[in-house]
Amino acid sequence: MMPQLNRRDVVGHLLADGGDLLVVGGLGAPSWDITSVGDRDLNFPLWGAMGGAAMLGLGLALAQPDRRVVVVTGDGEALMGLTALSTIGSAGATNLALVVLDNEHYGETGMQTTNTASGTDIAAVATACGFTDSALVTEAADLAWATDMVRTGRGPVCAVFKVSADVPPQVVPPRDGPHLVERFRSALAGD
Amino acid sequence: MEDQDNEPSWVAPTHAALVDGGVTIVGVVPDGGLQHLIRRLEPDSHFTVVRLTTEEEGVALAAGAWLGGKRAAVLMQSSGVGNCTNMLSLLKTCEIPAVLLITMRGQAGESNPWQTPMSEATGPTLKLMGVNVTSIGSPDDVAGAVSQGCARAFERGEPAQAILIEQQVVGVKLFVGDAK
Repeated sequence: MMPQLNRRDVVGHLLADGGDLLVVGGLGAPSWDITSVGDRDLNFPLWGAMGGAAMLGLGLALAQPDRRVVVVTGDGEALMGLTALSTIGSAGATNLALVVLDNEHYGETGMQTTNTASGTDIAAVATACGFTDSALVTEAADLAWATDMVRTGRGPVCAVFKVSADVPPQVVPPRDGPHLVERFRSALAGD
Repeated sequence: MEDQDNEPSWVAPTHAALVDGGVTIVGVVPDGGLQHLIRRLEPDSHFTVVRLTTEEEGVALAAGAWLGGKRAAVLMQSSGVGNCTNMLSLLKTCEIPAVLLITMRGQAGESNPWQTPMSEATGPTLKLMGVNVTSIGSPDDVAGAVSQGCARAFERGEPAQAILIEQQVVGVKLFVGDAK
């Protein structure tokens, strides 16, 4: 399938007016994408820990059951942590949404193809692991209901968006880990 | 290895130490030596116990818990520490505290040589990745080490704390034909 969606359009839709969302970004382009919407205190953009974004989101969701947690990551990062789908499906975090921006490539390392280009359907894996809902989204017309699912659907939900492999300009968040942790925890404590 | 029925003396006080240490989220990859503790934690409504698929998930889980204002512990066997190596970068780079409770294989009495390499590397790997390591050789000292670990990590600004429970505490696993 030829990916058509623009990753920044997708993330812009998902996070628009999302002031109360707790947002985790997987390393690389997804962290630039969430930052392009705004460098919020309640964003946690990863610069490493590849394969850990979804599980970090689960820990956050279990710690803050009354808040919506949205993990935005890429297909390469999600594939490295694919076992997390089994763990999350069993843990049943109703406030957790996993968003995979699937461009079928490793964008940070020279655009090698990932296994989503040749067989792996991450949304289907999520379904098979017991996620409450999951979807493979390929059309711009589906962004509205997909956003509803990500923002309000009973979790855990998984939305995989097939996006083009175009590389938008980097919008780089802070990379000082203790700073990112402190501002996130302070913002939560102050809410 | 511990039998199914008799709870070792260190288990109940270690359960209490985790409660007193403020831990509420626990990630678990089982080990025979941890079975009684897991059996206590799972029905305790004080804890959210997450059955991990692989150990590095627990490191990321603990980081997310801390971001959300909670304290987490991760239970695993020594062989699982190798799976965690790069994910421990998250704790070190971001100065995120956590308690890792690790039962040792590959030590005195081990009957499975495949356990030995990662056993030998467990303490050094953790130290190289910035985790403080305390090794416990007596059942009487486990709960105290967990209490200390919680205090050091969560209240005194120290790095993640690993408590290694040595094989002489958890016992050995025997296979058919092995002499007792």
